[in-house]
Amino acid sequence: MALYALQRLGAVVLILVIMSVLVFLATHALPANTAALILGQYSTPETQVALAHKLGLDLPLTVQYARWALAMLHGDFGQSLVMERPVAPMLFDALSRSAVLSLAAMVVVATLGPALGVIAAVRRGGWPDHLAAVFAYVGISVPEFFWGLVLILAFASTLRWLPASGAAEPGAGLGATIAHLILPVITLTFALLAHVSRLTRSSMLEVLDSMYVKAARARGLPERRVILRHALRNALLPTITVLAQDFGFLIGGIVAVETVFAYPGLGRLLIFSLQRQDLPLMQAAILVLTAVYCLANLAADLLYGVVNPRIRYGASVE
Amino acid sequence: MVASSTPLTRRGALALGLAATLPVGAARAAGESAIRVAYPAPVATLDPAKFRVGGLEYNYANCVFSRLTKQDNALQVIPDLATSWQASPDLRSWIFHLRPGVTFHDGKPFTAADVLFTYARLQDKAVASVLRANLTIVEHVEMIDPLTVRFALSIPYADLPAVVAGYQAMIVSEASITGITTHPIGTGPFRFVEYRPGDQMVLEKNPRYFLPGLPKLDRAVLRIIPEYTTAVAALESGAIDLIYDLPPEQVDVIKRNGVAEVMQVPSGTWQGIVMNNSVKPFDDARVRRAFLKLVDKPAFTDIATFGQGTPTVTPLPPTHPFFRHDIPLGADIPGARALLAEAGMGGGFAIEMFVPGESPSMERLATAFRDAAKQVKIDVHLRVVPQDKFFAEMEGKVPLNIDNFFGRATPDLMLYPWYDSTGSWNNTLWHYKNAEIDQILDAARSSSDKAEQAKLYGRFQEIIAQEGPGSVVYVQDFACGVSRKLRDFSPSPLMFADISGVSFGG
Amino acid sequence: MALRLSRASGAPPALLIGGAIVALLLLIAASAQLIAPFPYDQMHVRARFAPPSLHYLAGTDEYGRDVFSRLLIGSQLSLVLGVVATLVSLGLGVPLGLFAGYRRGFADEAIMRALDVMMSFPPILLVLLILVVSPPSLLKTALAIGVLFAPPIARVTRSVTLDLMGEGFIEAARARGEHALYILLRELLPNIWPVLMVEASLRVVFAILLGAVLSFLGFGVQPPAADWGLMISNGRAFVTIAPWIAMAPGIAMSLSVIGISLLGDGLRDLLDPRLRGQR
Repeated sequence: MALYALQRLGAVVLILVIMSVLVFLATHALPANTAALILGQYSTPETQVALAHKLGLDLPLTVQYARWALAMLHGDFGQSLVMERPVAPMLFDALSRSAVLSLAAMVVVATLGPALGVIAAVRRGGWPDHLAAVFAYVGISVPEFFWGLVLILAFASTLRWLPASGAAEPGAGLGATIAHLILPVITLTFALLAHVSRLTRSSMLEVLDSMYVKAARARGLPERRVILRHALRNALLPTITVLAQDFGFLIGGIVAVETVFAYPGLGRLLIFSLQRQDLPLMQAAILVLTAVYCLANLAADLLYGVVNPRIRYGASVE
Repeated sequence: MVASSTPLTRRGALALGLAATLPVGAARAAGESAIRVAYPAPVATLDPAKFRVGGLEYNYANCVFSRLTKQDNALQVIPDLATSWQASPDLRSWIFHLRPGVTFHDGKPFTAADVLFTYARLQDKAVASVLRANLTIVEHVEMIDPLTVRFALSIPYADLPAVVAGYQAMIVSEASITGITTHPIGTGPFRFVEYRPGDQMVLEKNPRYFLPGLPKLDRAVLRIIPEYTTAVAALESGAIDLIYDLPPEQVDVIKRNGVAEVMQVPSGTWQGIVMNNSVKPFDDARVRRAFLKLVDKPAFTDIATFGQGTPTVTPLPPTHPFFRHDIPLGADIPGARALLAEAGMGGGFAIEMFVPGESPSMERLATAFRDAAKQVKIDVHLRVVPQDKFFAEMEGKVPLNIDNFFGRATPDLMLYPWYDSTGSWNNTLWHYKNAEIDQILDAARSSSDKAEQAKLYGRFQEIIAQEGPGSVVYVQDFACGVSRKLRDFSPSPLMFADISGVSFGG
Repeated sequence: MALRLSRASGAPPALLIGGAIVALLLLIAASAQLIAPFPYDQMHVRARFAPPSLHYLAGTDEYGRDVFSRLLIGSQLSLVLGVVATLVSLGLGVPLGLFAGYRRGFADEAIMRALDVMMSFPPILLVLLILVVSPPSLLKTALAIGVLFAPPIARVTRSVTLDLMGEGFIEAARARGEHALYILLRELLPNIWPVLMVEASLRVVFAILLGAVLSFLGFGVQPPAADWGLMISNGRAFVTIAPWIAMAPGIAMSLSVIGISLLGDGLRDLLDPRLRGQR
């Protein structure tokens, strides 16, 4: 197990290294002249050359990469070109906000998803099951950014129950903070809820058909107890791992949702850096997002091993 | 000096801590003397010398810093850090008398040395300030005594007091220059407290501001809310008090809902179509003139601004006394067709048009032009490009693009850089050369006779309408969404939203 | 109706409903230029922000363009994006998967690890990176998404290939001394096809959704294209005064995606009972 975890961690490091090379090359392939971007169009060619020299932009690409990667390893994410301030504090500020949003969404999915799935499985073929099926299709079919817009139109603009933006001002009370989070969290959970509830439903159905549950029923245990004590526990195993995998999916959704709700998280920062071609910010934001994504996937894999003893570690997992 | 401000700050922090435990409504009531202003985009840099675009940049600087002079809402130059000024008879030497007893936010007294430092910095090539182009006429700045400075010019120039009111010419001090991008220190009505990019900037009252009684409010929170729909909802729910620069499509929303109000003023900010006269196909004057004839300014203005703008001939706005109201603004499609045929392009062609991103009105202007060009078989492909990339790589380099510029205070500042063959913007944008125009602009800038200037600028507009290098389509209205509780706010035609004099009432 | 039909024909209802929606979508896309009441970029400035009516079925947008006509034309863009991206991912993924599954051993191991690495990147980041480096276009977006979706296709292909390799007819072909290419193309591919159809329908859905997000964020096709994602993005500013501008393309996109998903699920149930209950 420990060996497997180490191997997987090694793989994560490898992926981050590859991603860093990709990001570095991509940002250097940008047609932008970095020095010109920093100095603006009113600069002279001489000052651009001087700045390029100062920034080491005239060095060979390999040397530039080594410098950059080393600095990143030391936690020096460089200086934003557009905002002229260190990237690291901005990035971690945004990361913590995104974490709040995604964790809140995760909590909702982890509680509601299995519950919906179990109800659908137990009432198989009944109206709750059909409703859950329709909900699942709608959930995966409506893009997050559109769904967010619908929620804003309904609850913020028309009914005026909830604020339309995702972020309360700093120093606002807990109540206000939560009120601001409700719409973005619903938006984020919609698709995942569909996924998790469908999965719980099918694994629950499988378990309900198993010998194990049949035996419990044969012993005359009440149905409620059979479902809650025996079936649910087993059915939840695959759900847990899917939850962890969905965390990675959440990161993709967050870029769109943060844009719709004007939420100052990592996704918005990334889009800002792409629009303004702020290379250091762009590089750091992409790498941090990739790292979070990889670690979430790693956690999912490990969790899968913990809850499912049938996997032998050491052999590759298919 | 510094110690005396500590209790105030601490009390502020305490109030903030208290507010955190109270429901939202109560927090609002407790902090009533704080104004919350919504801006669509974060400040790029906190260093005024490096400002390139407007919006939050100029308004933040207006709060934290002061300039030698500034302009009131009638565009008259009025004192700021300079209390008075006079020119030598040949207009080549200007003396500014500085305000005594002013201190920076860190307690350092303001003197002529700060003016010298600021202007040396603006003229430094390595700083690459936008204002450097306007300051090329300044040979040197010298200190006469600690409260008097002299600007020596290379040419006679009457508009220097307006030049030193430039957005980038905020007076900074050498002592605090290293912190300019993280904790800027100026002499303005508000002190910088903190800035969280993408979120908000917090400013607090400068108790030693040199204008008595100002600012009226204790705090200002400049919130960055990129979605106007969100900002409007926040204004109407009372979460913010002011929305800076409402786009045309939101003006109607606020008016219709009636909860808050819209304050609007015609501004000098113009948007237009830029042709690069030095490259194909626009090196042919017939093609340029044909493109000008395609532009139906009243219709394009309506499409792009929903009526929140006014068609114009040149950057000289229709509100200006020199504006020529008799010059037709409509399109002439048969004329355009004839010119294109004459130039051998009657069969039509395809061309890319670059549009700066994040600006719906410029995108609509481009779309309107694309539609008009179809009538003469020209296929215009729009390319919306992020603004920074656009300004660094496209503006002035591509054959055809949409562009926009903030208004300037005087006709010379509005026109000379764009139309004189030596003008900085002319050589960036369209590379236009017209001997008569050069003559007119030079004559107008050294004349002090209004009637004479009106005649010269009138003739100027006539020529540009016929064979200008590009089409300045309209000037925009500057609109702000304003809470009904706010008192004494008025938007400036230069797109400032000055909050130093506002207060809350009722 | 669909239920009764499905009972009569034995086909799953999802397949019928999904099939009907997809058929309608294809029909609309094929004839959009013919049935659209107005050209997609024709402005009626006096009628801008007109609510849905008999004249403008889905209202007009901020230029007075007919939203309904734009919806119809937009279906072409969405379908082209979805289909081209999926074809690219099939073109890349299927040969890789077949090869890995057929050869096994080192080649298999190397290919699979490389795919693992590719799949470890957050998808949206890779596409954004590609689109930022060069000017955006519909085809390039489709290509980028196609490359991105190749690994999952390769994986599915490989695992089915591995399953099939144990079957008698492959061994028989080998015993006949058939050329590897013959076995891959004539024996394996036809049997993998049903599974690929299902996977492909899923990929079309993801590609359409991802493309819409990219357009929405401003990195996709350029205005005034009638792209659904772009229409939603532009309509956002007017959502309180003219909600139909953003809502109509959103609903159109959701319906299309539901249709394709249903078709995919139905196909899965029909063609490959082994996969039933998975996902």
